[in-house]
Amino acid sequence: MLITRVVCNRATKPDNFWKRRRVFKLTAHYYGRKRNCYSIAIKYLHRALAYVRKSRQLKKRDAIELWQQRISAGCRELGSSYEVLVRGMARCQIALDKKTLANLAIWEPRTFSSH
Amino acid sequence: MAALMFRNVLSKLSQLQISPIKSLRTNGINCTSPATYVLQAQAIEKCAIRMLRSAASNNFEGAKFNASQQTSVQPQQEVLENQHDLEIAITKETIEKVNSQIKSNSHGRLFAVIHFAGKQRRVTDGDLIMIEAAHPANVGDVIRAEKVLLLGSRDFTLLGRPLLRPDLVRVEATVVEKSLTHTKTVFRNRRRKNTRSFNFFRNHFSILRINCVRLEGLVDQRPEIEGVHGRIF
Repeated sequence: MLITRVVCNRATKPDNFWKRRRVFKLTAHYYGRKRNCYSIAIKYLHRALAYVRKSRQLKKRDAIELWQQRISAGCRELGSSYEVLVRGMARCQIALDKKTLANLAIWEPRTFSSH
Repeated sequence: MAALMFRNVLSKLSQLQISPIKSLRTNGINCTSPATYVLQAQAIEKCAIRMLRSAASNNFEGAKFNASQQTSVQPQQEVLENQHDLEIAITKETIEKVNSQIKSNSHGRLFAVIHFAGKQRRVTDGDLIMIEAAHPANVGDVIRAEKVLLLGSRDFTLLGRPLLRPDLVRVEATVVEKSLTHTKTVFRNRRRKNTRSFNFFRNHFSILRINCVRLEGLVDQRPEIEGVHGRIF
């Protein structure tokens, strides 16, 4: 059996195609060169992924603000205000949170007006 | 101060554990009917005094009083009659109306607000709810929701302060599915510093089907020893 000399070389450079393919799959819906050119796409992809992480907290903040607005609107329809409602509920030890209050204000107006 | 109290009550609710030996706090039940009857928890005299105070001076924390304003305005005085007996009569009437509806089962579809896995949900029969939490129940188990904050129907609502009695309300749910969510990415990048990290995570969730939301007793019938119903000793 012929045994050749051991080739003490480093591994060849990995194929960039697959690394870039992972990026292009995520940027397929972008506009223009941002979806086709790697060095441009990668910037926008990093930004988008960072937004994904940040928006998880922002979504909760936005939702709370929205609920508060809706409860306030419902209260003003009935002649009082959000602050009055919250203070009254704290005194009576009713522990409904903003999400359910907003829900009730929209879908159960009779219950909400009894508050 | 009121906002702090409110948040305190909310935070205590998520840590609330119902123990059989201690009796529950006295749950005053607020019932309403579609007419103008709204029950006040405090006596009407206190409300009247508060109204007079607010009418006399809008007292905000940062307000500065003008000495001349204070001395020149005469405090308004109104004589209010004691309407305590009237209030009690109205209370009894509404409770009777609610009880008659419960006895004849003519209240129709009931909805409840449940505190489950750290969140409050509004729930009726046949609802599917998703809970992002891991819990020991298996698929097909029937769970009973113990922290019921509110029960409502077409004509009346029962508000718990903060919870309703377990021998009054019953909310049952079956576990339909227990699995992991889709893969979520957490990508951290420091721009121009050549540091970035990719993290993937999936958390447990389960889907519950609400079997029933129902009333199991009359509104003013309270047991002699509270907090013991349905417990195994």
